[in-house]
Amino acid sequence: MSASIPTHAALSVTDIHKSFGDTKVLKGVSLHAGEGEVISIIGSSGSGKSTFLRCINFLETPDQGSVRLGEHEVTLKSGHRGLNAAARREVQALRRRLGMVFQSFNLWAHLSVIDNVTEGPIRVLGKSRDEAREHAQRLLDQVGLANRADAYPSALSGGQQQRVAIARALAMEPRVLLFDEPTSALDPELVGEVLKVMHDLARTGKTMIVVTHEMGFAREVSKRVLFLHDGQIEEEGPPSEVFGNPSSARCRQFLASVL
Amino acid sequence: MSVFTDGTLIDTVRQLGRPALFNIYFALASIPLGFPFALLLALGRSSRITPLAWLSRSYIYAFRGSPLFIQFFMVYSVMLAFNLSTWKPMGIDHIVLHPLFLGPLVLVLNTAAYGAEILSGALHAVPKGQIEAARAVGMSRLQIFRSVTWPNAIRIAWPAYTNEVVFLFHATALVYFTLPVINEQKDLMNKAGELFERDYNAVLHYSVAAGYFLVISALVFWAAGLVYKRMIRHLGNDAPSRMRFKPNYLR
Amino acid sequence: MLDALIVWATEWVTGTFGDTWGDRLAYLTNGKHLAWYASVRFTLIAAFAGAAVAVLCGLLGAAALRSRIAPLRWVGKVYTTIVRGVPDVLFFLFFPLAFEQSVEWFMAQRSCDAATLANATSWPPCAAAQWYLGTGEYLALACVSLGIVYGAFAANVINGAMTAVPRGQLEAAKAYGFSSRQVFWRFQVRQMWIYALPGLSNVWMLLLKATSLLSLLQIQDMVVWANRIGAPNYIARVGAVHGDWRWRYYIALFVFYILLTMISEYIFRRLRERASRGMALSST
Repeated sequence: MSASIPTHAALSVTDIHKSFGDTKVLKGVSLHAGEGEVISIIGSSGSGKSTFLRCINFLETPDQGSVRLGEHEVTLKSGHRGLNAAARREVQALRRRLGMVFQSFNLWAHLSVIDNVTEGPIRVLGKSRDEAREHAQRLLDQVGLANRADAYPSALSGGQQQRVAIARALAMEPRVLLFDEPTSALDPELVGEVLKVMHDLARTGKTMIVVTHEMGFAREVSKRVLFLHDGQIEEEGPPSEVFGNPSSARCRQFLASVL
Repeated sequence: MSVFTDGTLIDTVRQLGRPALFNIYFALASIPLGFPFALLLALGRSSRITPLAWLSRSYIYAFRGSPLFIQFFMVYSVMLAFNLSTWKPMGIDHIVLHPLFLGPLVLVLNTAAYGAEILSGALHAVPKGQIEAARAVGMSRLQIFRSVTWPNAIRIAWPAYTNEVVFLFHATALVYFTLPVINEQKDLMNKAGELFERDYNAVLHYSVAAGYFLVISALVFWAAGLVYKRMIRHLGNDAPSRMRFKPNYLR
Repeated sequence: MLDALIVWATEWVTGTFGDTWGDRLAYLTNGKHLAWYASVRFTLIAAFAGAAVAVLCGLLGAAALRSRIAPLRWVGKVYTTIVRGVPDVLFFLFFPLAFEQSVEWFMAQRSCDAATLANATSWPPCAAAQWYLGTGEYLALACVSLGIVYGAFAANVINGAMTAVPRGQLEAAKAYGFSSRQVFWRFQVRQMWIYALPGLSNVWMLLLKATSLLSLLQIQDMVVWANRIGAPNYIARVGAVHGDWRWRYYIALFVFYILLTMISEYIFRRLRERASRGMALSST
């Protein structure tokens, strides 16, 4: 594991620890993403990869560790008793710059597609309604859903919902996009359309951290792959290395079972 | 001052003991007729005979959609209207106009409608596959009802029907607001009111009356819960979590 | 104005349908009947004002039930459990009585002399402390009672609905940097109403039916008038005008409440359709 922290890193996540009750889910996981880098996190279920992603934007509060994004940083020492007011403000600032795409889409059911995309920019970033709508239209066009702007989420297929969710994340103009198994809840025939959108995004130079089961995507699109096992990084490197010649036996085992 | 003199907590508890029996009587007397009537209405509601279905539905809607208080007045006044022409000549006016008969009568009419709604929901919730399996074995319609539909339906309906029984018990508080009190036949509300007239201690007397209602409701629920546990024993891990004390807010 | 209208309508009906129908209309529009129709206002006021108080109590109760402070949670729990474990009519009688007595107690402390207070055997201790309640006061107290009782039901409905809002959607809002207040009001509470509507519609129906109890608080409501107009009517000079007609009037009230229920159901269905626009919810 690289100990040196690249100074140009867009996002630095250092030494995250997290337990639920007596179960240690994360035992010191770090990740440093350079500008425009796409990193895939793979591992079997229960390896802690989703928890790790949720710790990055503090949907789970880590027991210990630090997250730095640009000039914003939150550091939690072990034995802390929740976030203080200053840390909470920093967390809000971090979240504003981190887009997140969920496994189960989590579109807001009471808002139409376009309102889902504009709600954050208007209420959180304070953009004007017109500006937000115009931007949203462009983003919906980008994910191929410009004609469904006034539909409600329940009227869309899973794949369409996830594409809206990606547009919603992009509308916040995040520095880093987090994807939490974005295709796991989709029917097999709908996976492709979402992966394509993500593929295009990677090409435009977005910094992306993707927890995924799609080994094809991890291999082709990402610059770096992390293999998480039992709350620790077992293997890390470029896809050619991790997939072609993994040094850890556990990683070989895992790849053999999914490929 | 001894705790047994007038106007003390224990005295009130003692004085309200017998009246509580009247509330219990009204509820207990209503269930043996109210339940079968509810079942008939529930079956009638989804009957293929259109007029029967329509009649059952209308009945259920009317008695769920109007206040029990009005139903009491309505039935009592109708019974009174028939007094001279029918009851008196038959010599049964003392029985049919007696609160101990009329009270349960109205409660039966009322609880049957609510019970029917619960039972018909439960009948519809019986897993279709089990009925099909019974049909495949060659059971007759009556056999299917007896050995598949009914055991399932009663289990599904049990928690809601328990709520209905508790609510029926609460509803007995209305009986003597509409029907005449005969001699010393007073229920909790009457007696609490009478004690209140004596010393104007509303908090004491009404709280004790409320306590009686609460404790008896809890007992009913506890007993029904025990029965329910036996009912769902065989379901193992699929069993719903234990019955909760949630009287009637979805009545 | 109203009189002229009634006279005109009666004449028209008599001319068109004959004397029998004219007489019936005339009878149904006499002073007592008009008073009966007007008494519907008490029922409607109690229903609407009671519902407003109930929603308020429901929101407070739900907030208590969901509070982070344990004693507040207990208060919420005790409130909802006791109210639902006791007949509504008991509370309906008790609250106004208790309120009246506490007001009179304060008045007695101020205006009765000490000796009278100490030896008082009746209530209130002295005449000066007597608080005379009119229809208006009783109606207000009735609304509060209804609100407190059905607020407990509403509290449970609202509490359940708050829990029913999908957690994922709230997490998404958090992840996008909405403040906790925004997440609460703009997402959780906004969607809560949709999940709460069916339950609240049930509570409204219960409350509506409970408005039939107003006569227990000395309010001259529809029930009182039905009883008064329907009672056997004898005039010494004429003899029996009519026998015991109360059953007709009670059946009319029975039908009236069923109609109110139908209208309420329709309105709630429309409300739900509007509120859940675009949301796929099972229809319950």
